[in-house]
Amino acid sequence: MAIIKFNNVSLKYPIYNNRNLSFRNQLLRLSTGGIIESEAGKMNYVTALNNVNFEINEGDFIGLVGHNGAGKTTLLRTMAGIYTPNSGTIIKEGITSTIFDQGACMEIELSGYENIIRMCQIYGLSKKEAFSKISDIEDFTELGEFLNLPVRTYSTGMSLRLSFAVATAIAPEILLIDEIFGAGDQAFREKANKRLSKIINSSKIFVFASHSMDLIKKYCNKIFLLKHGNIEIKKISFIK
Amino acid sequence: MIKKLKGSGLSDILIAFKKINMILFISLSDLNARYKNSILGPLWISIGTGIFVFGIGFLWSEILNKEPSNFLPSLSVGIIFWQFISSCLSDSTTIYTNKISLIKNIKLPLFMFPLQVLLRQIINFGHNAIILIIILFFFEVNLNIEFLLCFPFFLIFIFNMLWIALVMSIIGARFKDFHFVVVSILPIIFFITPVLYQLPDIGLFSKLLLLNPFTHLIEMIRNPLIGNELNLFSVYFSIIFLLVGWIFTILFFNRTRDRIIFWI
Repeated sequence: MAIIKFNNVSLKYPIYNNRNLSFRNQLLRLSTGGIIESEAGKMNYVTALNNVNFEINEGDFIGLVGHNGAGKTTLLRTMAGIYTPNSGTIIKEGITSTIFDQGACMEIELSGYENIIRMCQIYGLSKKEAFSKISDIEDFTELGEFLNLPVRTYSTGMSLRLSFAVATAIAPEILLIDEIFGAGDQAFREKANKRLSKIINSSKIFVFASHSMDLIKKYCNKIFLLKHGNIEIKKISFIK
Repeated sequence: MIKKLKGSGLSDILIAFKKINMILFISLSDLNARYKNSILGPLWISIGTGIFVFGIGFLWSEILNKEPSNFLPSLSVGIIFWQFISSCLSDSTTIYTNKISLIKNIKLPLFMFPLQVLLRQIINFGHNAIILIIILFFFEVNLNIEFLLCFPFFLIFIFNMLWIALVMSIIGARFKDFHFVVVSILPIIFFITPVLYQLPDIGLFSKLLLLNPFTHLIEMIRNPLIGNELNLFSVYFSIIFLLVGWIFTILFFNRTRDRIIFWI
């Protein structure tokens, strides 16, 4: 069973500038009492999610749309459990995998093979499972002998292939993806789309943030429109 | 309705311990990456410590007018544990800021990162232990049965360092100046910790040093290692420090766990 349910979820986060973060101002706050406090300790809050309610069930393939800063990434991170909301409850069941920034856990000094094992484990696989993914990743990346060399020696496209292959090597029940297309040559992009379609179709819940309406139309059957931390649920026909 | 998740820090710690295999693997592969293109690899850790301990040991035993055979074992244990402590303190203050891309993109227990700082130091310690063994043999230190106590004492030591590393990393995430504060205070702590000397050497002043928790951590573990009588006060202090420290840390982490990600 896979489900994501948000009940009155609000997420507010503080924006710290250098002034709030430094000791000096914290000390100043102590020593000056209330007068400068508002000045020295002034904190700006961003309300990224404002009393959000929704339920995503099996078979729901959601496209998140909204302009920059509307809260798409924040919503995805909250769904993934990376952000904890300030109020409200989240119910989530199902093995989740996220494809946000794929290169995040790559270590450039290590070889391709070493990185495969390392990244797979960070994504939650055991060492044994990680080794079992190698042949699949070898096939997809077509990097051949390069997998024995440090990732430092790879071109941007090559390291993208590797990180993409690892991130998509695991087929989860709940798949969360944040805008990942763009780089890579034509041939790779076609191949990547095929691989992505496969894990999207095998997932039970799919949430996808993107500015590309074509991709959303292709993969999703519902739209969440984000506006100032609120969500409007739309039919897929909402985008022309 | 406002529902705060209670005990999020404690569950984070438990999840991290469940993933200890993965975390250990990452720490080892970090080590591997760091020494990738060097011929001697991580042996440099041992060599560096060896040169330092022998160099400074013979020099200081001359200056302080001490027998090298007494002074060097005590100094090397002191230096090796001091390195452990000081690297833990300074590395943990920047760990969350350094790992920001991982933390914001993959759901991982936040306790994992201070744990990694500690594991790295344990790995380093493993390399330094070679030097320690060489020195203990070379100077024919008389070890008695109490030597075996250094194993449980080592556990008390690392679990103390673990909560300290967690607290330091949380404060370091919140206050970016904290790293610099720690780095500039470390040399002073070095001199008020019995690394270069031993407690009985300094008479009255030693009362003051008893306020420094690192004094007790080093005293506790050094005495059985170099065949001295146990300092029971330091042992008890370290155990109480461990318990009180962890209780405080869990309460502190419960309060701060969910906000750390917004600080970095």
